[in-house]
Amino acid sequence: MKDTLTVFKWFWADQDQEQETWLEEMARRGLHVQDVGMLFRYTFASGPASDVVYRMDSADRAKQADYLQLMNDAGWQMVTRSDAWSYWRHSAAEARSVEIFSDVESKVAQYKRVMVLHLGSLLAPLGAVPMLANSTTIPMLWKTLFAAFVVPAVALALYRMLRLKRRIGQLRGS
Amino acid sequence: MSAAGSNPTLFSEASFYVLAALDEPLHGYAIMQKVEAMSEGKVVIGPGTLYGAFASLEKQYLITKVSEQDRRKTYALTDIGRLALQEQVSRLEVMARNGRSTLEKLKAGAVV
Repeated sequence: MKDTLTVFKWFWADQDQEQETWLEEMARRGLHVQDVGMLFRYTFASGPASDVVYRMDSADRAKQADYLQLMNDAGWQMVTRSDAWSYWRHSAAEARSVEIFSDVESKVAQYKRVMVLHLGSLLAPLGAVPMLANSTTIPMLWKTLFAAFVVPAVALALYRMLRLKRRIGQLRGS
Repeated sequence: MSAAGSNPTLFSEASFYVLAALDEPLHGYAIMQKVEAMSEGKVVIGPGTLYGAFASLEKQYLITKVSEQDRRKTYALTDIGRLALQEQVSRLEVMARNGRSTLEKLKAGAVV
């Protein structure tokens, strides 16, 4: 019997709630997320079925010691981090619901931090564009390959931003 | 939220309660617990929301870090913070008074 399970599952950046629900369902089946890697790769370890709560926050705060301590004090354990998100687990022993964010504006601020993190990861490839465009020594093949990568990456990033903006609008509208 | 001393709007519930909880210096989680007790269980500030409120209030110099122990920062109300709390309370008192007055008029004028 395998002790770990790897699942590839795609979620858009604004689908944090869907990720949380899915991770909770997996935990109730005895599969506990250990790592969230590149290309939507989720690694689970098998164990006893448990009724836990998963919530996500932006990844940047996970570097702050006082933030980590506050989260721990409030009963949250950090499971793992991805490029833009940190994943948190809370035992759902208490009947009431537990949330990392208790009002709309702080949740909106979290989505904005995620947008900034995603934008940051675009800068490197974008920064290379003018250099490549002006270069006369780099072969056309390489330039074409790079464009084939950069154009969809930028389009994807823009669509991601759009989805996040829409999510923010939804939250504020309700 | 605008600069301290000129607050045209009410603070968020979380920010208001952080200020109101600081009659003595406290650290993050202690503030969370105190706010829940003060509000009789009605206001439970999430740690992510609380952390953001600390950052915002500290930036406006309404609260300040007085010590740090075991990765926990202890905050205290500043003089400007106390003034801001005073202004928020005054504003809320006017709102409560108006709300109560309307409810009373509705009750008195009600035709059952």
